[in-house]
Formats: sequence, structure tokens, C-alpha cells
Amino acid sequence: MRKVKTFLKSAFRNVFVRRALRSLLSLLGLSLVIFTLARVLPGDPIKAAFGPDIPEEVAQRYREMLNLDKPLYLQYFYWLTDVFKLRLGRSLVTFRDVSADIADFFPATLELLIASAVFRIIVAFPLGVLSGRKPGATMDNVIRVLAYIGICIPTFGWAIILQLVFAYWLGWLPAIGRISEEFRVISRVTGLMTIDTLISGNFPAFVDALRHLIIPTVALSIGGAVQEARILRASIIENIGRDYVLNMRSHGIPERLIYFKYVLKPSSIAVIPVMGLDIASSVANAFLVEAICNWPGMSRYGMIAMLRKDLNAIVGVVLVVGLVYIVINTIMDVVLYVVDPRARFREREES
Amino acid sequence: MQLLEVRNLHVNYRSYWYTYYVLDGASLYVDRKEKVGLIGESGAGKTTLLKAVLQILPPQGRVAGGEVLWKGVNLLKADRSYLNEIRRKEVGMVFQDPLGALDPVFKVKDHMLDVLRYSGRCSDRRECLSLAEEYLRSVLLPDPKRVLESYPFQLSGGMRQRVVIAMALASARSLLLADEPTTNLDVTIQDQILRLIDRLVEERELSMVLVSHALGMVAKMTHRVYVMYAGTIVEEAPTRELFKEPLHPYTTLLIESAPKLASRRLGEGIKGNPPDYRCPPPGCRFHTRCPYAMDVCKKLKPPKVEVSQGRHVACHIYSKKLEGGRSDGSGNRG
Amino acid sequence: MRSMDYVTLARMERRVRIESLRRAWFRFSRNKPAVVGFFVLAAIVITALLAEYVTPYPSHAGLYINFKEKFQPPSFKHLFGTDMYGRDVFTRVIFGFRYALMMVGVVLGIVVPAGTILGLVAGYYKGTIIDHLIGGLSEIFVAVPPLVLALAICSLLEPNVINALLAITLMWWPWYTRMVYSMTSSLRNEPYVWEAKALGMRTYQILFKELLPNMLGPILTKATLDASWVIIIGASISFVGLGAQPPTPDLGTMLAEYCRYLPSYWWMTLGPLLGIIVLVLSFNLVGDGLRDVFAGE
Repeated sequence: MRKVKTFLKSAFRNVFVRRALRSLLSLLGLSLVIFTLARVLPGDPIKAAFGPDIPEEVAQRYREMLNLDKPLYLQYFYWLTDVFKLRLGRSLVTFRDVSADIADFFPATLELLIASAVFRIIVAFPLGVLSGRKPGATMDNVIRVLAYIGICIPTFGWAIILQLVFAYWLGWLPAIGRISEEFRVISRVTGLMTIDTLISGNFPAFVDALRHLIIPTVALSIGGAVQEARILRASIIENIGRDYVLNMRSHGIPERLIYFKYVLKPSSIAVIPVMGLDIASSVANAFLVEAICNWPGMSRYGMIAMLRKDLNAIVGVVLVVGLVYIVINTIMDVVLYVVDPRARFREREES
Repeated sequence: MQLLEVRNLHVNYRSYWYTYYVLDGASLYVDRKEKVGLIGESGAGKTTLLKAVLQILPPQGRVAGGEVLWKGVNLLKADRSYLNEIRRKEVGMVFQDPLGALDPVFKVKDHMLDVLRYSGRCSDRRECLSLAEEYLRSVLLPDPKRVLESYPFQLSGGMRQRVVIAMALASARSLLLADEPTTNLDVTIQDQILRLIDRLVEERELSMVLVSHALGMVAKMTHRVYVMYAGTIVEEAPTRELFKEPLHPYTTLLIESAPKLASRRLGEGIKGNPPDYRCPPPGCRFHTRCPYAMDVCKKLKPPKVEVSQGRHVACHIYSKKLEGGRSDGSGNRG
Repeated sequence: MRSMDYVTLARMERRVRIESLRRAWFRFSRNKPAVVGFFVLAAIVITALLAEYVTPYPSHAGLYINFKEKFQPPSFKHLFGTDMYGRDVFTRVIFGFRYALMMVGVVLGIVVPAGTILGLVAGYYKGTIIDHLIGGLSEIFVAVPPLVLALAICSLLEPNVINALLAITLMWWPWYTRMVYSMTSSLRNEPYVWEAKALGMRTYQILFKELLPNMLGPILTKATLDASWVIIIGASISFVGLGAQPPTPDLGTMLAEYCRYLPSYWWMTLGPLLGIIVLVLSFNLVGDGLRDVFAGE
């Protein structure tokens, strides 16, 4: 146990801290860019948000509220200090603190992301392993076709198709929302509907929450998951002819053990970065899926903010998305660190 | 009955577009406690031959004919469990490239534990671990504990090859197949490793097939030698006789082309290139480069002829001689 | 050795180039799906260019209202049926290709050269201020997934096609810069670069005559594969409402409009959806084929 702890600690130090520093710096730069763009671009933000007919005194009051009448660097400074207090300004749409809004809606998106990650693993690994075992066989060709279909239907395309087929035509799954009306009263513990329903012991509600989760998750993940399966397959095929496989075979190690231990592990290394990247960009694709499926997540909140020109909300959402992106990439780095021993030494070499 | 006999083996490699006809009727045998050398230029099919014995050809490789007899049983037709028993307990193989032969994401410990567990030499984890240490010590690795906990890329080439040798020994109670074990190593340790192999083979009373470019070492370490060219055995002789008086034109050129310390010039090499296995030349595969090529060599594959006790040559020169110079050069032996 | 005059040399170079083109086509043509994709793409491009002359109802592409014909299911008269304003969906999809292709052309036309140059410069002067500047700038844009950034930028601007293009261009260039940067910094220590420097070649010559040709393969492949992403992101932006506005026949905008009538008049969404799929698929197949061509090198 102690070995695991020291190991994780070094992983933490080497990977997380360095990456965190770099990424936070980028985020800061990003915030500056967005912020400047938002203030500098032509057009009056207040008028853009509320329409040109807004009376002048009201508009002026809003301007003061958002500090728009102050010089740019002061605005940025105020905003930055606010961020460190974890306050992201006030939303023009909900009139609440943007951070409160985001805290409200974020768990839903988080639930989607976690479900997406789980889905990818459940789909990509078995499919990749199956098609890698017998390249050229029917299974392999089927998966190849699926992968092609997977790339060229964009996420929102999948959302529409899945809704059409499974919700409207077959009626198997609910099309929109997180949970049915009758279960609305579930108390909110983690914000993750599936977990909350489980905690409160309400099993039918749990099932209902799961059913609602299916279409958005599949739409979000399936394109990428089949691609990852193909990458795993390619990696397996490459590794299966390697000398070390022949070596282990020459010692009479059973095929199964060779395949699932000595071939699978190095092959997964190729997939992990891709999966991490895919999950990270799911954060972006969630925007559309949440819109179509009426999933009350942060991405949908952000989209409404963008449509309504809610400045603070836009900046806030972009930042949080950036943060999530960093976290996901870091997790992926840590996983890579654990799985691939060569990665551990590469980092040290670079520094 | 011999320990291992390969009879008339044909092996092809199939890629997407082409078929490579690599082994074209190769035969050899190894007796108990006998050390046999296998020499020839790169690409002659020596590795393929060894791999075919253990049935560990890469995915594109197919055995197209012939037999591999282990104590009389044809391994090519035997069932999987029998083959695996041979692999686990009887025959071990040392590979040419030690870095490629070990899985980069697993420690040496993992490799050795798996090999030892299936070799039947130990039963539980702790026993296998200490046995692993012993094996590493027997290949003269200092600090075996540290080596066990290392990943392949953390070790030097020589250390890796010793690990591979240790693994091969664990699986070998009867025969060791050494496929150019030193070719990819630093010149300064090639000698060491070969001598180590020799000593270990003698100690454990194993048979050995040694494939090597180091003709000098082969001459010292083996009882008999096979010479291979383009997928066939062209000559076979007791070691001393072969090197003293090579019969096949290729053998002569091969030995001459090896650089010798005493002579002044570097080896000249042999004119021409090995054949394209996709469409190998008809008749004798060496005829395109043979200075003594005759008409019959282009048409007919030379049969293996016993020239004297224990010496065989596959060359039309000798088959003709034996027939007393039949002019049609058919080389039939009645 | 006879010295060659420049005319002969030029002729030889041209022959070599033609030969390598022929070889490239041969390698490309071995990948059957890629060839299919290529022809489909060519067909789409031609159709889109000649949209006015090829489509059955060119006037439906813009503002057109004919409530008598609305919500017609697919038929021979209207291959994808008509939408809520009675417009022929098929025609609009063809015009939508035009917008999509234009988006690809403009974005890649700017991003690939600009990003490549920046990457070359940054990679060549690795370790200096230039490197840090360019690197830092691209790091900023990479910190957030591309779609989010594009959407954010679009949200700050007027929703129309040009701004959507601007946003996509703005957030796309770092990806090329990074790729070219990594290739340059690994290639710049190759012997031929040293030789060129010793010969007194000027920097820009080294960059463009020595380093760049080695990278053309991956750049071209990536550009083609990126084309499909540009289309998807462009469609996403319009879908959300921040790009082309109705009645512009942009594929994403159409999808958003028709989506509202699910599930009753579902055939309308089929039009733009299929359009996007076919376009993206063709680009991907061609990109795949290009990868085969350059992998052999």
C-alpha cells in the first residue's frame, strides 16, 4: 500500500503540478483575450443583450453594475480579483452570480462526461480487442464500417438520429430531460441524478434517470468510441507481430495470457491519449447535445448565454470549460503515467 | 532417434500482395548433447527455420510443407497442448534483438515469473522469484534483484540479452536455439556472451543450434555445421572438416569473405545479391552467383548428396561426380 | 562528368515531378474508398459551383414562400421533400454545399499557410523569444476545446457567416502551428540543414526549400481531414444560431430550423444531415487516401 502511495505522489508531482502551472498560465492568457475581445468589439453589450429599446437610465445602471464605464485594465483587475474570490460576475440573464449559476448546472454536465467516459471504455476496448484478434474477419469489417459512419456523423447528427429512432419511433427511451416529472422531488446531494436517486433509495427513479442518460451519452460518445476501437485495433495488430510476443510464445505461455497481458497493455497506451482528448472535447460537443436533448447542464447554460450575449456568463463558462479541459487532460496524463513506464522516465528527461 | 529433425521444410511469408517463398526444403537434425551451427548470410532463412521449429512464425508466415520431428513426433501436426509442453519445458530460444524480445511495459520480473511458472520448475510466487534470481545470477548479472525490478529499456543491451538467455534456459531441458545472440550487441561483449552460452549449454548438457555470423566462434563451439543459402541447406559437415575443406562453392566463398586477422585485406564479400524470394530462381537458388554454375544448375534443384561420412552437399558438381559424370546431369541416384 | 545546361536540368526535374505525381496517384488509387471519396467530392464541388444551373428549383435557395407546397414528403418532384416554407430541400442542400465548401476554402486557405509559416519560424528559432511568443500564443488558444472557443468568439460578434468564418479561422491556426513546430524542431538538426547553412543559404530559403517539402505530406493530409472538421464546426455554429442566419441555406442553419418539426416531418432533417455526412465522409476518405500516399514516402 505504501508503495502505491509514494508512486502516486511522484506521479502527482511530476505530472499534475507541471501541467497545472502551464495550463493555468494559458487560461489566464485566454481570459485576457476573451475579456478584451468582449469589451473591445463594436456594439454596446447592454443594448445587444437587452435590445435597442432599453431606456437609457436602465442601461446606464447595468453598465455601472458591470463596470463597463471604467477603463479596460481596471475592469480586468476587478474581474480578476473577483475570480480569485470565486465570483465570476453577474449574469445578465438570470441576475444571479454566474458562479452560482455554473455551480447549479455543472453537475449535469459532469454526469454526462462521466457517463461518456464509461461508455467509451465499455465500447472501445471490447470492440478493439475483438477486431484485433481476427483482422479481416466479419467482425473486423463490421467495426470498420461502424467507425467510418462514426466519424462522419457529427455529434448533433447522432443526437437527432438517436432521438428519432429510439425515442419517437421505437419509444424505448425518453428523448429529452434528465428525469421524468413524477420523480422531480429527489433531493439534491451530489447533483448527479443517477447517484442522487441511488442515495435516496428510490430505485424506479434511478432507472428513470439512467434511461434519460442514455441518448445524450451515446450521441456524445459513439462517434469517438468506435474510432478509439479502431486505434486500439491498429495498435494490437502492430504489436502482435512483435518479437516479444513470439518470445513469450516460444516459452509456451498460453495464447490467451499473451494476448490479454503482453499485447493488450502496450496497445492500450496508444488509445489512452486519444480517449483523453476525445473526452475533453466532449465538453465542447456537450453544448449541442445538451441543447437538442434539453439537458440542463452548464453547456446549455453557456449556449443560452451566448445567444443572449450575457458577457459575464460567457467568460465564466469558457473559463470553467478550460478548467475542465485541464483536469481531464491531467487525469489522462496520470493514467498514462501509471500504465506506461516509459512515460515516467520521459518526463524526467525533459526536465 | 534424433532429438530434433527437420525434414524438407517449406515456409512462405504472405503479405498483402506477394508471397515470399523463403524456405525451400530445408532439413537438419540435432542429437542429444550435440552442438550444431547454422551459418549463412542475412536473409538466408536461418531465423525462419528456427522459428518454424517452435511454431512461432510471425502472423504472415505459413508452413507449406515438410515435417518437424521432436523425438519422432511431428510438431506441425501435434496438438496445441503437446506443442506447448515442448515449448515450456524442452526447448528454449534466444533471440537476435534483446530489446525487441522483451515487452517494454513489463518488468523483467513479470517476464521471468510467467516463464518459470509455466516451465514447471517452481510452484508458488516466492519460490519462482528466488529461482528467477538464481537464473539471473547464472547468466552473470550483478545485482539480480535490481534487474528483476527493472524495465527492459533501463538495461543495457548486454544485460537484456543475458535476461533473454536466462529465460531461454528456464524453458530448455533439452535444446537451446540461439538465433544470432550477439549480432545486435556491442562488439566488446559479443565474445563474453557467446562464451557464457557455451558454458551454460555444457553445464546443463543441452543440445544447441547456434546461428551466428561469428564464424570463428561457430568453429570453436560446435560439433557440426550446416550452411544455409536462400532457404536451403547447401552443405553439412563436422565443424573441423567444413572449415578446413569446404565443398560447396557458397561455403568456400563465405569462409573466404570473412575477415581474418592474419591476412591483409578485408573480406571481399560475394558478388551479387541474395535472390528475391517472391520469384526465386529456378533450379539451384545459388546459380546466379555461383562461379561454377553449369547449365543443369539453372534447371534442376541439386539433391543432397552424401560425399563422405557425415558430409552432405547439395550441389550439382558433386552429384555429377558421384554419378561418374552422366552427361545429362539429371543427378538421379538410381 | 558532362556538365548539364539548365534547360536539360529543368526538363529532368519536371519529368521527376510528373513521375512522382503518377506514383502518388497509383498509391492513392490502391485505396478504393479514397478514390470513391475523391470522385464524390469532385462531383459535389462541381455541383456546388454550378448550383444555379444544376438544381431543379434554384429560387428556393433564398427567400421563397409557397405555403401550398409545404411539408411535402419526398417524391420525384422533390427529392427530399419540401420544408415549412414550401422550399425544395434538395436544392437548398446543394446550395448549402456551396457555403460549406466556401468555409473550408477560406478557413484552410488562411490557416494552413499562416499556421505553417508561424510553425516554421517558431520551430527554427526554437528556444528564442520568437518561439516563446508564438508558442505561448498558440497555447492560449489550445487551452480550450476548439468548438467552445469558436462559439464564444461568435457570441461576441454579430451572428453571420463572415464572423463565423473569422471565429473558426482564429481558433484553428494554432493546431497547424503546433504540428509544424514539432516537425521543424525535430528536423532542423538534420545534416542537410547544416549543409544549407554552411552554403550560405538564407533563412527563408532554408525554411521553404529544405524543411517545408518534407512536411508537405502530413500538412496536406491533415488539411484534408481538417476540412471535415471545419464543416462540422461550421455547421455546429450555425446550428446554435450564431452563424449563418435563415433564410441562408447553410447546412447547420437548415438543420436547426427543420429540427423543430421533429418527429412529424422528419424527412426534412434528413436532407441537410445526409449532406453533411456525405461531405464529411468524402473528405475523410480522401484524407485517408492521402495518408496512404505519403506514408509510403
